[in-house]
Amino acid sequence: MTSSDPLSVLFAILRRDLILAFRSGGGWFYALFFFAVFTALAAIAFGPSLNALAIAAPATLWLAVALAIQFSASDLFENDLRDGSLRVIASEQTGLMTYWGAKVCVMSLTSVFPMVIASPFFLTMLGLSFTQGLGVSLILLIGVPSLIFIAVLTSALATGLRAGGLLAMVIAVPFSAPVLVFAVSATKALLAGFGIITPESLILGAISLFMAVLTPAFTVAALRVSLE
Amino acid sequence: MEPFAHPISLEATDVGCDRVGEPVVRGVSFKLRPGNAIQLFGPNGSGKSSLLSMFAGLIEPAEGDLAWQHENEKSLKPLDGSLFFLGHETSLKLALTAEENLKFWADMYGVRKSLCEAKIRTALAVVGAAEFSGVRTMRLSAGQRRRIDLARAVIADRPVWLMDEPAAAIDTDGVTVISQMIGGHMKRGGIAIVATHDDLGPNFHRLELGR
Repeated sequence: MTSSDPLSVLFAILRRDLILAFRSGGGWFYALFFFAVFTALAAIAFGPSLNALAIAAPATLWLAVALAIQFSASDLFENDLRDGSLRVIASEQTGLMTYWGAKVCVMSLTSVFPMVIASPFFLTMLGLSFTQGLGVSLILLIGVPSLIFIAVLTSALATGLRAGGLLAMVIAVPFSAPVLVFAVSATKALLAGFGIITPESLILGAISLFMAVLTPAFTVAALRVSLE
Repeated sequence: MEPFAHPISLEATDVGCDRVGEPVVRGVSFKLRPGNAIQLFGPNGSGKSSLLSMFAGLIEPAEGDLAWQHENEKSLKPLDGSLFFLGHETSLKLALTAEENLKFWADMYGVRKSLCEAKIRTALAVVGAAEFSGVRTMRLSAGQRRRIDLARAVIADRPVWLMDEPAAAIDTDGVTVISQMIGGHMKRGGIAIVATHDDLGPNFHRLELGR
C-alpha cells in the first residue's frame, strides 16, 4: 500500500498548478495586470495635482490589491471541481488541508508576489517616491496574507455555484473591511514618517495571523459541501 | 502482479445515504472479501455515485454501518492509502500531457520517485495508450482520456477500487481492458465496487439500486 506525505503532495499540486498557470496564456498575469490598470486609471481620475494623489495613494493602492486578489481567486477551485480532481484529492488521506495550503501558495506566487514586487513602481504614478514605495510594499507583505486567506475562503464557499464569483465578492466584504481599515491607516502612518512598526501595522499583522488560523477549517468544510 | 500484502474487506449493514438532505439509497447490505467485486447498477439518479462517495469517505452514511477490515483492525473510514477512486469525470488537466497528468497522480499516491517513470510506462501500456504519453490531453478524444484516467488505477496500486462509470465514452476494446484490469485486481486479492451498465463478466456480485 502506498500513501504520500503531506509535503510532497503540496509540492505536487503546486508544481501542477504553476505549469497550468504558465500554459494558460498568461493566467498568472491577470492580477498584476488588473492592479496596473486600476492604479493607472485612478491616477488619471484623481487629476494632475500630486498632493491630491499622494493623499489618495494608500486607499487606492489597497483597493487595487484587494480587488485584484479577489478577482484572481474567483475560479481557484472551479476547474478541479469540474474535472473531478477535487473529488479524488478529497478521498486521499492527506486530503483537503494540504490542498488548501497548496492553493494558498499558488495564489501567493502567481498573483500576489508579482504585485508586491511591482507596487513601488506603480506607487510613483500615485505621487510617492520610490523609497516610500519600498516601505509601502513591506506593509503590503504584512496585510496581504489576510486578503489571500479571505479570498481563498470565499472562493471555496462559492465553488460550484452559478455566478459564484460575484457571490464570493459579496461574502468577502465584511471580512475585508477591517483589513482595509488598518492597512490604509498603517500605510498613512508610514507615509507620515512613523515607520513600519506602528500600532496599526501590528494590528494588521494580527488580523493576518488570525485569518491564517480561522479560515483553513472553514475553507475545507466549504469544499466538502461543494462535493456533495 | 503479486498479491496485496494487506488485503482489505468491507462489510455494509443496512447502509443508506442522502443527497442534499434527501434520502436516495436505503438498506444496502453486503460483505466484500478480498478478491470480490460488486457491480452497482440502476437507473439514473438511483444513487450509484452517492453510494460510491460514501464508500470513499466523502459523505457520511445516513444510516447503517460500514466496517472496513484490515487484518484484525476494524474502522469506519477507509484505511490510509488503501483507496483508489475513479470518478465519472476524468480528473485530468487538458493543458498537461498524459505523462504529466499521471506524474502528478503518482506523486499524490506516494509512488517512489525512482519507480515513477517505469510505472507510468507500464500503466499506459496496460490501458493501451502508450503512444499518447507525450500528447497534451486536450488533443485526445473522450475515450482516450478515459483510458489515461484508468491508468491511474495501475499507478495507485491499491487494494480497494471504487469506480463510477469507468466504461463511459470508451469503445468495446476498452471495456475488455477494464474487465481484464478488474479481473487481475481481484486475483491479487483486491476488492472493487463498480457502477456501470456494461457487462464486465460473470465474477461480479450484482447490486441493483432504485428498487
